[in-house]
Order: sequence, then C-alpha cells, then structure tokens
Amino acid sequence: MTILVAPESAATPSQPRTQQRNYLTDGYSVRSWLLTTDHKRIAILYLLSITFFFLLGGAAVIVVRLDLMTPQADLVQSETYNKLFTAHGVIMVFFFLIPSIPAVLGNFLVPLMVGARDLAFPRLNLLSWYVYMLGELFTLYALLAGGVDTGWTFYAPYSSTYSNTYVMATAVGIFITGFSSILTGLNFIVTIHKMRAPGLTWFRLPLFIWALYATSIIMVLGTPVLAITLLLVGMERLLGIGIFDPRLGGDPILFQHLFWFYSHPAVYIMILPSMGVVSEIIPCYCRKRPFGYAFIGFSSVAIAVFSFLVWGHHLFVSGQSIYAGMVFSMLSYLVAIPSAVKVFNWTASLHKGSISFDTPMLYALGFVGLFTMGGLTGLFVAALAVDVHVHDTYFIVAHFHYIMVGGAVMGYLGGIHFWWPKMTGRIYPEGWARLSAILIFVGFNLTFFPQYILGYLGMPRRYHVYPPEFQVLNVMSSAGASILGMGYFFPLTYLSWSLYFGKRASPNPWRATGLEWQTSSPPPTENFSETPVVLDEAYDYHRFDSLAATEGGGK
Amino acid sequence: MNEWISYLRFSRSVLMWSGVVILIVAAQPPPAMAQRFATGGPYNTPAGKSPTAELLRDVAIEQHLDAPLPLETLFRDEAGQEVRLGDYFGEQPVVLALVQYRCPMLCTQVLNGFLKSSQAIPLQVGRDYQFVAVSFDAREGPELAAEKKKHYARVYRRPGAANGMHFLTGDQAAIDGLTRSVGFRYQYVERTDQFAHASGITLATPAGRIARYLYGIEYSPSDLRLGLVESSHGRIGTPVDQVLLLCYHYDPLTGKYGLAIAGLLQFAGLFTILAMGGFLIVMFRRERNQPKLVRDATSDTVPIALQDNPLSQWKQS
Repeated sequence: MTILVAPESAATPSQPRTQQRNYLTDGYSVRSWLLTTDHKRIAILYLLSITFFFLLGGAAVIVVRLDLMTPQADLVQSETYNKLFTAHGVIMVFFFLIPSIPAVLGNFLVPLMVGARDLAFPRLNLLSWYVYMLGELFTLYALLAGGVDTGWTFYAPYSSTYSNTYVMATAVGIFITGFSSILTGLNFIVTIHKMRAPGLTWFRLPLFIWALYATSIIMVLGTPVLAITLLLVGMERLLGIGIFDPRLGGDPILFQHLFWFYSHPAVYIMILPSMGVVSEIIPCYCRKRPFGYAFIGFSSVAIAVFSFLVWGHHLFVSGQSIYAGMVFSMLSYLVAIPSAVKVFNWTASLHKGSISFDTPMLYALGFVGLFTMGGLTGLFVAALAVDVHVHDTYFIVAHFHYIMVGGAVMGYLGGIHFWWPKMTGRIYPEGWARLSAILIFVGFNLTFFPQYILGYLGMPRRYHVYPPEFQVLNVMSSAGASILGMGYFFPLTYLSWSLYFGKRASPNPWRATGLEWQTSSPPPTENFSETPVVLDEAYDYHRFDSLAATEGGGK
Repeated sequence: MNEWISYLRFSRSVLMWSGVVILIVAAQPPPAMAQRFATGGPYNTPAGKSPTAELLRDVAIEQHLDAPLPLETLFRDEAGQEVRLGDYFGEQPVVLALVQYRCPMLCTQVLNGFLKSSQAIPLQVGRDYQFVAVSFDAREGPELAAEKKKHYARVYRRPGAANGMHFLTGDQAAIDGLTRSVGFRYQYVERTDQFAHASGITLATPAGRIARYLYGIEYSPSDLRLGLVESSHGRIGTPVDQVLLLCYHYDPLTGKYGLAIAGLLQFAGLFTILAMGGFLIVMFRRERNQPKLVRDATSDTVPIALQDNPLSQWKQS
C-alpha cells in the first residue's frame, strides 16, 4: 500500500521526536486517561487491565500445577483445588483471551489500518472498557469472597442448584463483560464498513482487518446467547424457576446447548484475531505478498460461519441423540477446511521469501506449529468414538491449550512485539525477546504435550488426586509450566524496561506495508494529519523493497 | 479395448448397486437405536415381544383435552353416600386420579407422587382445589376408600384435607363412563388378578372439562402448580404464576411444561440474524458504488513527496 502524504505532515518526522506531539503526550492527567475517547489510549487501558488478569489467572494455575506434582492431595484441599482451576478458567477465557487481541491490538490498530482518525463510536469504545471493568469487579469480588467451584463451564444443575459458592457474582461479572465485547464488535463492524480511507477496498485491506471483522460478527451474534444463558441460571438459582433442573421440570442438556452455542464460537473469537496477527507478521518477515490473500480472508469468514454450527460436539456423551452427534461431528470436520487453508497459505507464503527470524516471526511460526497440533487433535475429539474415550480427560485440556495458549496467546505476544514500537515509540531488546519466545515455545510443549499422553491413558481432568503411575508425566508438565512462566515473565520485564530505556523507534522500523506504519511512532492523537489515499494492493512488499532500493540507501 | 469397456461397465454397476444398498441401509436406522432415541408418548411400549405385549398395546392414556367429564355419573364416597361426580366441581379445579385402591404397585405410587408434589406447592387441597380419586375396580367398596382417605389425609399434614380429598368407588357402568371420557384405557389380567393400566393424573377445570394430563408417578411441583392455575382460569395462584405461564407451555406429548423459552430464543435468534444480515447487505450494496482508485499508468510509480514520506525516514537511519 502506498500512500499520498501531504507536505504538512511530512515535516513532523524530521523534528526531534522528544518534542513530537503524540497520543501519549497529549495530556498527562489521570482524567485525560480515564475520560479519553482516543482508541489508542483505550487500547492501553485494556492492555493494563488484561495483563493484570493474566497474572491473576496465571497465579491460580501455578498452585494447580504445584499440587499436581504429587499424586496425593497435599497442597490444597479438594474444594480449594476446584476453586483454583475455575478461577484460572474463568479469568483466562472471559477476562484475558476474549478481550486480548480485539480489545488491545484491535482497538489500537483498526482505525490506523483503515486510515481513520478513530473508531466509529469513540464514546461507546470508552464505555466498553468501563463495562469490562465493572464485570471485572464483580468477578474479583466473587474470587475474594470465596471463589467459585463449578469449573468455567458452569454446567447446570451443579451451578444452578448444588454449588454453594459465589456462582451468581461470577455469572453477573461475565454477563456484564459480555456487553463490552458486543460493543467492541459493533464498533469494529461499523468502522470497517464506513471509515476506510479512499481507495481502500475490501481486497486491499490488511488480513488482520478481515480476521477482526469475522471476529466481530461472532461477538455480536454469540455473546447475547451467553448472557441469556447466565440470566436463566440466575432465574433458576434465585427464583426457583425450572429451566435446567430436572426436578423443576427443566432440562440440564438445554444449558449445555446454550452455553456451547456461545462458548464454541468464543474459541474462534480468541483464535481468529491471532490468525490475523500471523497473517500480518509472516508477509513482513518474508518480504512477500501472502500466498492466496483472498483465501486467507474468506477462510476467516468461513470459520466465523462454521463456528456457529459445531457446538454439539461438546455434547457427544451428554445424552444428545446419536444422529445429532453424527451431524455435529461432520460439521466439526468442516471447520478443519478453512483452518487448513490458512495454515497451508502461511506455509506457502514462506516459499522463496527472504525470511528473517525476528521475535514476531518466531511467535508467528510457533503459532503455525502449535495451532496445527491443536487443530489436528481437535479432529480426534470431533470423532464420535474417540471422543467417548478422551472426553473429560487431560487430552481435552491439552487440545484446547494448544489452541488457546499455543495459538491465541502466541499470536497475541507476537502482535504485541510487532506493534510495540508503534504503540510506545520504543524498540524492545531483540536478544531477550528471542530468548523468551523460544522459552515459551519449549516450556509450552513440555507443559502440554505430556497432557495429551496423560489424557489418552485415562487421567480425568479436574481431579487433583491421581494414580501414582501418572506422576512422571505430571511432573514433566509442571516443570514445563515453570519454564513457560519464566517465558511470560521475561516480556513483562523487558517490555516495561524498554518503555524508559529502549531505543526510540522510527515510524516504520520493520519496513512493513500497511497504513499504520505510515504515521509516526507513536502516532499523533488524530492518527493522520491528512487522510491517506490508497492506490495499491495490500502487502506489496516487492514494490516497497524495490522502491527503497532505487531511492537510495535501503537494505 | 473390449476388456476395458466391460471392466468399466462392471465397476459402474458395482458402484450403482452399492449405492442402492447404502441408501437402503441408511434409510433404516438400527432397531435398537430407533427405539432408544424415539420420542413420543411415554407409554409406547415395544409390542410383540412378550405375551403381555399385546395386552399393553391397549393400555394407555389417550388425551382428550377439553373434553367434558360425565358430571352426572353417580359414585359412592368413602362414607358410602351416593354422590354425583359433579358435586366436586363448580368452584375449584379438580385433580382426578384413576387408581385401584388394592393395587400392589403403581396406584400407590400415583397417589404418593401426587401427595409429594401437593405438599411442595403453596396451593392447598380443599382451599384452592379438590382432589378426587376414583377406583376403576368395581369390586372395591367404600371401606377401602375410607381407609385410603384416612391415610392420605393424615400424611398430607395440612388442614383442609378432610373436605378436599375424596376417594370414590362405583359400579362398572360409572367407571366405564368416566375412564372412557378421560381416555384412560386399562385391562384386567386374569392370570394375576391385576389390572394393567397406565399411570398419571388429570387436571380438570371447575366446569368439569379436562385441562391437563400429568404422566408418570412423579409430578413436578411446578407442573402441578401451573397446571392448576391454568385449569382454574386464573382464579387461583398469584400474579407471578400468571407471568410464569407466559413462559411455560404445556407440552401434550410429554405431559410436562416444556419451555416456550426455547421458542422465544428461536425467534430472538432469527430476528438478530436477520437484523444483522440485513445491515451487512445494505452496507455491502452501498459500498459497491465507490470508485476504485488505481495508480495512473502514465505517472511514475513513485508516490508524492517520497523523500518526505516516513518510508525515506527509515532509509536514512
């Protein structure tokens, strides 16, 4: 994408950058942050809050992994253990993974990438953060007051009748947070439709935008169902209306249907934006247009559509009719098609590219490998007979961690590193960053690969007492978790360090295409002083590099 | 060449026939599976398996919703007095249980099931509704009925049971008239001197029309409560019950209050999808008219003021 930039804006980069006005220096008061409608500042607010929750969810699972070092229950009691893994699941899914890329990178990048000055509804955007924080408060209250022990899935009638923990407070928290993702999704859809720069047609859009567009549709369509489900649980718990409890004339399977109708697409809310990030990183570090641009874009849409048709594969052993099971099994296999299209296209993009293994690229390649493993084991569990064997075992735990951590979190970290210079105007220390990317990859595999074996051998999830023959694999997993924890701790440290001591970033340190790189780093509050005009296809790295070579200097 | 053609023909017919076989097999679900996942009335017993199967086929509760009960039929109450069935109607809805007092198994369960649910709801026998049990065994008399009444009035443990619970007996003609209008089909089995019959209770309106059937031997309290509220046409129950009735719909197939919520969800889901789909279609149609900007072939490929472009910034560093 090449840009027509007016001379006025061109003057700014040549001035000393310390004096340059940008969104970070545009007001220093607390008020200027808490009442901001600038999408970039809201993204930073989200970044801080989800990082806090990531640490909290991580702390819960540290205790879980420590307890699983021995076959006996010697660190925590069973009730505490239940509360710990529930806290880990609830926090990581609803308060970290779902808002991670859309609310942080999406908020920051969508207007920049489409050449707009802000999102379509800036105040709604700020409201979404406050709604998220309100939900966060309810959940924090529930955790501090005594926790929840239902597991993150809140299966009825356990959650509606039998659990004596703070189910309602947590459910209210998640209910409220859901509105924040609806607002974000709505904002993105309208922005992508209405605020694209002149000349920026759909097929010139960055693939990250395609991915976020698909994600937003899932958010707007799916999240209300989760809200309805939690509302019904509340009605049953508080008013005794029989909805899920068979004794009151309800149906517990109905809960599972409603819950997974949202929560399965929610997995794609986590993974699709990550795929978008990877689709940005790989072309930049291969200096090539991605292979099959339209296929990657449309496979995002296809995944969004299919995501709503596969929820029943969570109910294979719940008493769902065998015919429904067969249909859901087939539909689940269909999701593999667009997913595989993406993986093959990314790999094909590497072919004959000039690849450099910088940190974001390490994360992106890690994503491709781990996502493939998670996706392929997803096909195992989508098969009816195999699922009967591995259902509710560590095989499932390993499978969805490969997708949600190996996929979504790797993509998130890759994206954070890739756009860190744009967001903060600073360069992170490359050596440390590469080291931590490798640590995370190694630690992750050591943590979760043994869990596939554990699950296949029959260790059920959600138990902290297990037969002694499983101890070796569990110790391996816990050891891996400690490496993984170190891997996560490093970026937290050096990224914070780089805020003060990092090298200042030029507007386009990675020589990437994309409108976000055509403004200063960090961008001014209004993003572009002149509305950019787009004349070229996306990811025209060939033209970009040849232009740089002929115009003097260049690599 | 000829071999090739015959080979092709052969494989084509093999393919075709195997397709036909697959279709036929697929069209017939395995019997065990079909039975396990079949829906329908709970009393669709598998016929033709055992000697009693023939018999059981004729035993069922056939729903006669909104049919009038024979209110003029005469029965005897527990005191031996002759009473009209209609004596118990008029003001309040009626729970009607067709049982055999001496029945060793199912009927006691039916009565106990009703008792358990009736104790779990705020509505009271005698004050809010009437309970009438009628024996379908013509050989049973008022003594047995009195015994039953004494027992159930005591374990109900709420006032009003004495004038709200009635245990009737009658002659064969009266029993036939009542069971026919309720749709309660039963059979006498000579071999065991027992009755083969289905189990369930019937709710009737104060005017003596059949409003609801509740199947089985356990009745969910909310089904009973909402059934009574509905049968009484709003004369008993609280406003909350009325609101609840809007969300619950009686499902004649299972005799339970299934959820109209499911229907509501379907409607809301469809509405959401149509609204969102419509919005997207409008947006995409509007965008069609936008001009596509392309680089002018005659002009140089260098964008305006390249040296001022951030791109050149990178090159200098």
